[in-house]
Amino acid sequence: MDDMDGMCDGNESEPAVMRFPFPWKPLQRRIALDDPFFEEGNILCNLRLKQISVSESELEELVTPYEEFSCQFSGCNRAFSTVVGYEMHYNAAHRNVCRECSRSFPTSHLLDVHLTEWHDAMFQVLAARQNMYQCLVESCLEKFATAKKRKDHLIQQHKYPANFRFNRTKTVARKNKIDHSQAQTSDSMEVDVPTENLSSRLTVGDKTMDTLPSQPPSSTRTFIYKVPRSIQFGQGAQRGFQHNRGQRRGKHWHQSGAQGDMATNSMVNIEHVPMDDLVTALDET
Amino acid sequence: MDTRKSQYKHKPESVKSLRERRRKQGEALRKAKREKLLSSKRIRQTSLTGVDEITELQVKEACSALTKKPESRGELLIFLKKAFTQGSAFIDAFLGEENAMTTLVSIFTGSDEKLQLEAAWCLTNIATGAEEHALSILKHAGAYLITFLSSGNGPLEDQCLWTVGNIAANGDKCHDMLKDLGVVAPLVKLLGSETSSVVQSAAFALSNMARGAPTHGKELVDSGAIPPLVKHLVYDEDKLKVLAEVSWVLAYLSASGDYEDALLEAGTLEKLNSVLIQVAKDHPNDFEVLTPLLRCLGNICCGLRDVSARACKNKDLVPALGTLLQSEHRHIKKECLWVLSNITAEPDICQQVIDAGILSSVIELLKSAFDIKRQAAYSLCNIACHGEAMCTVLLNKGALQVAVPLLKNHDQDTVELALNFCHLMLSNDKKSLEVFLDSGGLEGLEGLEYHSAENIQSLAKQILETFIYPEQEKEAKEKENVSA
Repeated sequence: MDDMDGMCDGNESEPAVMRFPFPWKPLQRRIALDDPFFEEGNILCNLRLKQISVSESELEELVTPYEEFSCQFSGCNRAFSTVVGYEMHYNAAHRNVCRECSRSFPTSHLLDVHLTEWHDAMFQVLAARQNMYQCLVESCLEKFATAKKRKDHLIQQHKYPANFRFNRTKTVARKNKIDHSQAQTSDSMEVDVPTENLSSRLTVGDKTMDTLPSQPPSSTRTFIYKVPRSIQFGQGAQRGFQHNRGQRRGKHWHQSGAQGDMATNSMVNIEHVPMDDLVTALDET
Repeated sequence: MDTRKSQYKHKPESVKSLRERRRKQGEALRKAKREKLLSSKRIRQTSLTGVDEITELQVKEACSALTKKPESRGELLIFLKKAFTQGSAFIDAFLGEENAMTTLVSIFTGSDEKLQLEAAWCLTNIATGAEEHALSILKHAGAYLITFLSSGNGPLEDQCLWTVGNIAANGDKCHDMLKDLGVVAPLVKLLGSETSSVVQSAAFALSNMARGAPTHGKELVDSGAIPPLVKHLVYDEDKLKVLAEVSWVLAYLSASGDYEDALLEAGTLEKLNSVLIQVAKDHPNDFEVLTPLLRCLGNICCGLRDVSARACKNKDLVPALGTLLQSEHRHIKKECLWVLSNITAEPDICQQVIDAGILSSVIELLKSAFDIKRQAAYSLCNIACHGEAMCTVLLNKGALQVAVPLLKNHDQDTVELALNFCHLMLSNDKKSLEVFLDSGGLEGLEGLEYHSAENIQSLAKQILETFIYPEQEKEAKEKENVSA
């Protein structure tokens, strides 16, 4: 029975309805936390809680700035001046790293899944007979026969985005990691992919058996939902914007062309700009 | 005049409709303010939040700069996170900019940890906006938020937890999406973190997940949330805030009544008691911790029959409650009385209450404000119905004398409670009658004979007929006999 604030209207025409048992019996009342009974307490507590503020320095706990030191991980040359900054970097970039292909993952669980699926020889054997692709959500115990089925499950059941970056083929993700600072803001979060890696994206429908250990297992199909540029539907009819599909690859049209050094390297030493053509042009007039 | 007026674009409104509109606006403002007070979202501020005016144009410029100028991302993110604390308009502006959100998410999932943290902070503050803002976050970054909860990176986990907590407060749709993303399991796991701020934030997120529909608690319980929560029900001077957050989750779970067994099995009751006693002793006015603890206890005690008895095996509990009755905070007094009323449903505990000397405080509180009065009256009724011995004590403490004037109170519940109390006293202890009449009971009852509420009328009449009139008749007969 909830407690009520204020008065209740009397029902004169109906028989007497007692609010409480009569004669009285011991009464226990369970009250929900958003009941008006608790409103006063709720407001007070909220007011106090909302004034949580965090000073900037709290984030840099061990804020003693040391002399700049660099990350000891081979190949990484990030520099830090605080211990906690270094810790954070190490956790993010080096702790969950695959030793085979040096990809880094944000959690040990994702690393485990990766190791099982990509670098375990038994996996392919077992996958042929039973469902081996486990759901990426740790609390979900479902397994699937193919990576695509798992991806569909993630999207439908767990509302994951189609371009979840920790569930991609090797080359695309690696590019994303290294080229983060130059990431374009396209919807798919894909970055310009240099031409030499394009071939690995042509695995939609392909089942090439590669001997390179770094290639994804043959039965894994890349599930890029944006059609790769090299795939053409139909008989290859010419379509506008076919080459770039809105994404620039390399130079813009006005930067390419017979302009010698200036085309490939846009950094120009002003001392050494060849003025010969200008001279000839002026001469001609 | 009217011809001129008709040339104006807007039809002039009558005074009445203008007033109506003002009134509605005022109501809407008050409602929004009240909702904000009661909302459980938390904006994360920095101490540097200044009084600078931020304009929408600045926000839009910051969005485009975010994509185009990677070097200045740090300061841009700091600016944006402050802007988001100042209201939904800026959040709308941000989300309206093309690619702003996707850029933010790419920073959030990128390799620069400092920027990552700032981006996460931005997400936290965006999540304090409206439901569609939270849904937008879930669509773009939901999966990453959950993934990073297991990253082992303390500050990042903390920030993601805040974001999740704020999102969960945005209603059922957000809550269900979070559940689908698999948020509950990592939250429970983080309760075991070594960093107390992470534990606190995890509990905050869990408490917002537990609110809302009664079934929400089930997900938490099924994921094994109770044991790690109970583990934190310990008294630690430096971790009172963690204790408060954890108690909130348990308070929500116990309020539904469906998880009694799980809670009791985990030893919630015993630990709750000892921690409550300790806090009441050392920090009797720390309502932030006391409020959820009291509510948890009060609702747990509504369960199986002997729960209250179990609770009071700890002899220090009742005296601790007595201390809290003297709290300087009104709502603590009120809620403590409610807890007391629940445990006095058991007869053995009433004796403890008497022994602890609390009765006088309870009776005193009968004179307080209307809502406190009511709770005190519940307790007294519960005590009085346990038999003659109790009623005698109550009588001696002067309870009846204070209760009788309540018959004239204008709050209907109070009146009905007072009537019930008087009835109990009169039924159980013969000596009450005299006290009752001396305190003006008769007038009180007679005043209620024609009360607008039928139940009050009939109660009053019943008491009159059962106790007063027979007595009056007896007296009349005795007078006759004497005179005869």
